[in-house]
Amino acid sequence: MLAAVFAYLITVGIFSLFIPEDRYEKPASVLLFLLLLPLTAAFWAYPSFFNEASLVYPWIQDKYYHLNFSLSYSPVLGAFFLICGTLSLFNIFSVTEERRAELSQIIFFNLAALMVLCSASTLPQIAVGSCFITFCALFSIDDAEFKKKFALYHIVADMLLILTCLVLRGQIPIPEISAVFQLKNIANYNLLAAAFILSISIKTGFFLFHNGLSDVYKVKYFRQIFISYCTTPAAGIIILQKLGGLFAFAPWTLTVFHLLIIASVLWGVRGLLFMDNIRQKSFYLNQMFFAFVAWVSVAKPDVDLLALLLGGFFLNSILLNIFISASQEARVSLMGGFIKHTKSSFLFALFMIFGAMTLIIASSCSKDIWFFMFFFILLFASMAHVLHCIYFGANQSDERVLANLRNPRFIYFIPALFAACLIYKTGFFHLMLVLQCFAAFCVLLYIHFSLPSLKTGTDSFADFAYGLILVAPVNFLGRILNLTIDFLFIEKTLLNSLTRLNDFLSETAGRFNNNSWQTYAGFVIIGMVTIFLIIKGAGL
Amino acid sequence: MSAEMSFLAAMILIPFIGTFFALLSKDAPEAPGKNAFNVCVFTVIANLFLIIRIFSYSNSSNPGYILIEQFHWLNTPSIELAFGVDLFSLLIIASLHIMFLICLIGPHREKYYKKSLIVLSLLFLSMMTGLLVSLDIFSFYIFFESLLLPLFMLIGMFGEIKKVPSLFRFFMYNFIGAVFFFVAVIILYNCKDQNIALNSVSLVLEQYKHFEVFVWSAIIVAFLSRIPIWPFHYWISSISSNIKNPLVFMICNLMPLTAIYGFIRFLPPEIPSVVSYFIIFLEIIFIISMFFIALIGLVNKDMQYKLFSYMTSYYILYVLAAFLQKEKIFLSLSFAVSTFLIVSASIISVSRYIEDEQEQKNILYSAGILQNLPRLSFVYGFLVLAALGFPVSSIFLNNFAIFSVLLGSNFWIGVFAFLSLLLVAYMFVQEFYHLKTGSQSENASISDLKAKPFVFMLGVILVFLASFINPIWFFGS
Repeated sequence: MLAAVFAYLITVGIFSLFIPEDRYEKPASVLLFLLLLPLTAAFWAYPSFFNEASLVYPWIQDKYYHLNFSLSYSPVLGAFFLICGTLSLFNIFSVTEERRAELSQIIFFNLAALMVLCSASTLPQIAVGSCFITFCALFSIDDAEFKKKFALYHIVADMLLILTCLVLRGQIPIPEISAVFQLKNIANYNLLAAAFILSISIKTGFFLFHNGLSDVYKVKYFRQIFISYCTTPAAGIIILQKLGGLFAFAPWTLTVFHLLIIASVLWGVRGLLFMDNIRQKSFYLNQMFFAFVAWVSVAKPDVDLLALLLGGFFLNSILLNIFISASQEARVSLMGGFIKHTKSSFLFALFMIFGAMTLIIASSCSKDIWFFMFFFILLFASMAHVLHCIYFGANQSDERVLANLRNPRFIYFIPALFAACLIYKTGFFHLMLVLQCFAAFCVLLYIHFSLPSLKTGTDSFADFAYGLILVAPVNFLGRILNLTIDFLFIEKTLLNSLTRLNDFLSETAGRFNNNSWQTYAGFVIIGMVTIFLIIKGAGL
Repeated sequence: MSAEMSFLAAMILIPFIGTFFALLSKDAPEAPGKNAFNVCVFTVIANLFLIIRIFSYSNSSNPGYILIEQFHWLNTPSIELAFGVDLFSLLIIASLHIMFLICLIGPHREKYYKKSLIVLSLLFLSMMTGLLVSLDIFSFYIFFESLLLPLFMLIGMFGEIKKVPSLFRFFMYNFIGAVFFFVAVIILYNCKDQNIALNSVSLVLEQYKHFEVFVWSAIIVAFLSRIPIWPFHYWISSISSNIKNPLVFMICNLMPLTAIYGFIRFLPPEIPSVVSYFIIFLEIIFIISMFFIALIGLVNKDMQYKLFSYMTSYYILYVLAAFLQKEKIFLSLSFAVSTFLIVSASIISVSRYIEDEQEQKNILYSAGILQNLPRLSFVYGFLVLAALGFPVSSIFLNNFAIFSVLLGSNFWIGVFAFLSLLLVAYMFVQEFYHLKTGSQSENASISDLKAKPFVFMLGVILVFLASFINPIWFFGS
């Protein structure tokens, strides 16, 4: 059955390539959504049907080299099908998307690539799945600058992943992943671990390595969510689940990895709180979210990724909903007063927060409780602040936004339906804890909401205190970090020093590589002397 | 096995005869070179059919020779020539022919080539095929040196070489290599007083220990003169960066292949102790050269140099793999090299198209290759990914096998080789995305690929994809 699904995805994807450009865009996107719908429904309604069947295709079978390509069921595929199905539906109604059919085509190919990666049991298949997902992400980007950045970072990330797989493959008799963890120790482990951490950090968009993803807000919003949840960051997490056991070979790797994760969460909070552009907020939200998922995936490899990814998707759908309410205006985080015109949207946001809390708590609170609390509090406190500013802040909307401010059409509330189903499916696991957290969230939202009303007309003391004690220091820290890390360290030191080193090396090499006969004769003589010494050493 | 018909001799003779047909073809005034061009295409396709016929004798489970043919050449001195093909040489011969076709009818602007270019190219193809089917030292030597003649003429006539010293060095190095090789061949012949098979050179030298160091040194120097490594690198890089014609560029850059092939054929599975002493030094020099050339390619603005840098880096990787002499990567090496040749030919042809467009329309940078030229963007993007060894062609799995063995046998050599390829990858991607904005005239922009070349390139891409899905698909194993 899985083989049929895989073949179906590829076939539909290939046939959809023949849809004429700039014609039949909308009907094509509707058709492609309808072709994806039964598959998504089947994945959720009859998972056991997919669970039973698996495919093993003898990819290479020669005298010395045996390699199988396998497809097997993975529950996390359900999340990808659901997210892709939803985006495919939203894509039909998009007003800004010019190439609807293209996005829907890529969704088909990407789902096939995700199947390859999720099913990977051999090292080459991991590399293949990861590369395919990068290609799909690359082709889905509709902004030239971001495409360039993405390609440079992610092609390097994939090559580092391939290097990791190659080093491992050189030490095991068969290319199976399971064989890696039967090794007592891994030769040249430090280099391998560095390559692996670098690769995962770039793919997942960890702090210091997030440049390859940071401009994702420049593409259309649906594409942004697609890239964030169905391509490279998700691929990074799946690879981490499969190869995360490598950290067990030396403790320093896990320490470095955890430091990167904590930095990413803090950096994400900074972005979520202080970026005005709601789509940039979305990127930072995902940065901290994927950092958390990465931590959990290493600590608990059997974590329910499906629930976690859908939890993150629900949080994104809140920001998407606000963006659409404000007639595609992204700089809305300080406009305030949205509650008056978009009550349904606000209720949707509350419900999605509840849904996300339920899924995150159900899937990941049982291990590393301190990190979980650290992340959970930061995430939802930041979200409370963002929602408070948008819905309850003093109204500063410009006339255009205010005139068009209305609840999005019903289609954009569909994720709430999925959230309801999932809450029901989790069986109200840790219900009391979820309710307490949700209540705390509401209080946080309410405090912000109620305080300005204590002193109407003027800035409240609470706002002033809040600004002075909480916002100003974080803002200051953010500015300092921005100046020191982004500008001074990354831009001026790391990138510049690489460029300078490169210039220096190439200039030095260029001196040897010039066309003057003196240099040339000199080097030929040195070469001859070297050859003579080698031959002499051989005993001639 | 041996066949009744002399397939291998025919494979060498068809392009050779094609040279005469091309030479005798009349030039139509409205389309100069068209007839010679058609003769060339027909010859290459005809030979491809013959190659496919020979493939039908092959059996992937048996890696031995598919066909062997022997010819009596001279009575005094007594010389018997032997031709033979195994999967390795047949794959490279097939990819050479496909490479020729791509360079002839690819998307580059030049529709027909001059008659002299066609004639010399066919002659080169014939000699190169001869080299790849040679089983004995005499025929190997003859073809190894005779292919230089059309090559010199091609570079001299169509290489647009402005620096005579480069051409002189090219000649000088190859001449020195040829002299060394000639002396080695004479010594080997005198040892047994008869022609010697390539794979038995080491056995002969084991019996004549006093010649061993010199003969091996001579053979290694002859092969090294064909590979752009320090201190022999400059001639080929300076020549390559001037050659605009895709076919001549590819022919010039086939030189290192002759050396790789020579190393593979001459070195026995158990590397002689004399050679193994040299090999560690050679590996270090190769790695330094590879890194050095990749680095220069990264900062050099000339696309031709970048392509040279890409090809050289891969050639050096394959030489390093050849030194391992592991039977288990032999098949991977053959598939990797053959796909690599086709990918290189495709990418040079498409790059040439872009550069021709830029030159013709006086555009500094090609505006919007990514966004506004969907066909070109797709084809070029795909070829770049294939060239870098990403999973879109059989290069990926075969390089995976080669690298895993290389890393297992000498970790740091493997790591540096990989880092060099990483630099090459960065260079290619940088170049691809470099072409985005800015032109001398406001409205100038390069045109997208037309339907015919696009369909042709799609065909090539499909072949790559098929080779990825089943890397040995055409043997039905």
